[in-house]
Parts: sequence; structure tokens; C-alpha cells
Amino acid sequence: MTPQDSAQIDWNQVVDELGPRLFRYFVMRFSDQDSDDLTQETLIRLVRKVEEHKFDPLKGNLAMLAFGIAHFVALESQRFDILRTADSLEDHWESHSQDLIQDQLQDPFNLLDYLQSQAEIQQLRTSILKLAPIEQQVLSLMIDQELSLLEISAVLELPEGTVKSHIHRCKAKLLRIFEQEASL
Amino acid sequence: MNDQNNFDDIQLILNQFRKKNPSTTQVARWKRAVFLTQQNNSRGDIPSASSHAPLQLSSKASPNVPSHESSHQSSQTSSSGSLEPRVIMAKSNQGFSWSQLVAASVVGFTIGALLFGHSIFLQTNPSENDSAEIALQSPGDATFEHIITKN
Repeated sequence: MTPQDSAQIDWNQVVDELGPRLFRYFVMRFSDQDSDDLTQETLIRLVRKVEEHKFDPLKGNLAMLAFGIAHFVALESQRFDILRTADSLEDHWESHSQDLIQDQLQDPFNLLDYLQSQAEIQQLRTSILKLAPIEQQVLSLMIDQELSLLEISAVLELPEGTVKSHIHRCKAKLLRIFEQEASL
Repeated sequence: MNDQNNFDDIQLILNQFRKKNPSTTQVARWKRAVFLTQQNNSRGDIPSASSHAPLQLSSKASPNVPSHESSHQSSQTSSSGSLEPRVIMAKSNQGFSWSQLVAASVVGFTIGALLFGHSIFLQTNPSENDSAEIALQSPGDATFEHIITKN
């Protein structure tokens, strides 16, 4: 099968499958609300790519194309300086995921867990944002367990060995950051 | 082996983020956005810059939209559970690119030359005439330095 036609694709299914994966890709570096927007943007661009017959299943699957687009969407948004130092992520408490909180409010114990995990994620995100951009990109792609190391290196257009050494460096740097934070 | 250790440690960190899931409202909104894009494409419409494309996120609104207004809009969207895709405003380029700066300086220089060039030449011509006069009056002293100091 050569470049695939959009009509052959069940887009609802694609959004169901890829939407949450893309959201988690963004959520490591961006606030929940921004991740929501960036996911939407990525999905829209994915549709356009397929409509323009730029998706060739022989060259890789739809998920790889989606993550490739997501990679550029993230780079673009950072280049435009729209987003966000670790400090500006503070405002996410006010603005993000009202609907999720509404869901959690049904069960107060659940809400406490939710808020605690939000705080942990916020702290972790702040640490990750201290890494070099390429290291953040590698980690963001690693969040998707269905992407192999080979696919990650293809998305980033880097040799597999380089990706591995970035992971090694990520670990060392994060350990250092955690130690510094613990000593404060 | 070493790789495996690295990966395990990193996986522990990543697991925190893997707990994050979009709400059903968010997924429904994305589906709607995808559907609208498909519709626009099949009609042959050129999607407008303000409808979806790059890339001003609604939380930090475009220069035209005050931030309080955009956050108000987004919270409205969330609380009402609207399935309409959020509009991602196109961001205007606030800075100048190098090519714009070069073009501006060329235009500025040309206009400047047209406006002031004539009077500059009027000023320099007499001095050239003076030098010629000095050279005529005392040909022996008419060195370059002389002309310069005289002027």
C-alpha cells in the first residue's frame, strides 16, 4: 500500500488511540492546558499530512508520523517562547483541567490522591525542564512505551547510540538535580 | 546491563507522567477538531491562520487577546464541557527578522540619499573648487596635506 488516503483511516479511532499518547508526550514539559492545545494541533497537522498524501505506511506507521509532528510542534512552541519556564507553570493550578477535577470531586479521597500526584508531577516537571532541550525531547518520547528506541532515534533523526548516551546523561543529571533539591 | 539500569531508573520517573490521562471532554474536542479539519480539506478550503494553525496557545493568548480574557474563555469551555475545539490563535511575529532589517536599511539609505544627497554634493563641490583655487595660487604648496589643512 502506497501513500494512504485519509478516507481509509478511522480518525475517531486514531484520536482515541493516539490522543492520550500525544497528550502524555507533551505533558512532561508543558502544562495540562498547553498539552491539550498542542495535542489538538498535532492531530490537525496529522490529518493534513495524510490528506496531502504525505503518509506512506511503507516508511513508518501513523504513530511515528504523529510523534514526528509532535516533536516539531513542541519545538515550534518553544521557539516562539510561548511556553513556559518552570515558574510560569505555577498558574496551571488555576487554569487547567477543570473537567478532570470535576470528575475527581465525585470522590473526595480520590481528589486528594489526584492533587498529591499533581504536586509530584509539577515538581518532577520542574526538574526535567532543567535538562538540555535534546534530553527533554528524548525523555518525552520515552514516555510512550510503544515507541522503540529505534523509532525514537528516527523521530529525532539521531543515531541510536546517541539517544542511549542522552538517556544516560539524563539519568545522571536528574540524580544531581534531585540531590540538590533534597539538600535545600 | 548498564543500559538496562539506566532505562529502569528513567522508567520510574516516566511512570509519574504515564498516569496522566486526558479527560473524555478533551478527547471529544480533539475528535471534533479533526473532523472539522477533514471537512475543510475535502471542501478544498484553505484553513485560515486563526482557525487552527501555528501556534499561539490559548492559555497565553495572542497579543490581541488579553490573558485574563483567554483564561476566562478556556475555563468557560472546560466548565461548560463544550466539545468545540479550542481555537489556537496564530501568533504574530513580534520581533524583526534579519531580512526585514536589511530591507529597511536599504530603503532608508535610498530615501536618505535622494533627500540629502543633493545638498551633500553641493557642500563638497565648493571645497573641491577651493582646493583647485589653492592649487592654482601656489602650485608648489598644493600638496594633499595642504589642501586638507586649508579646508
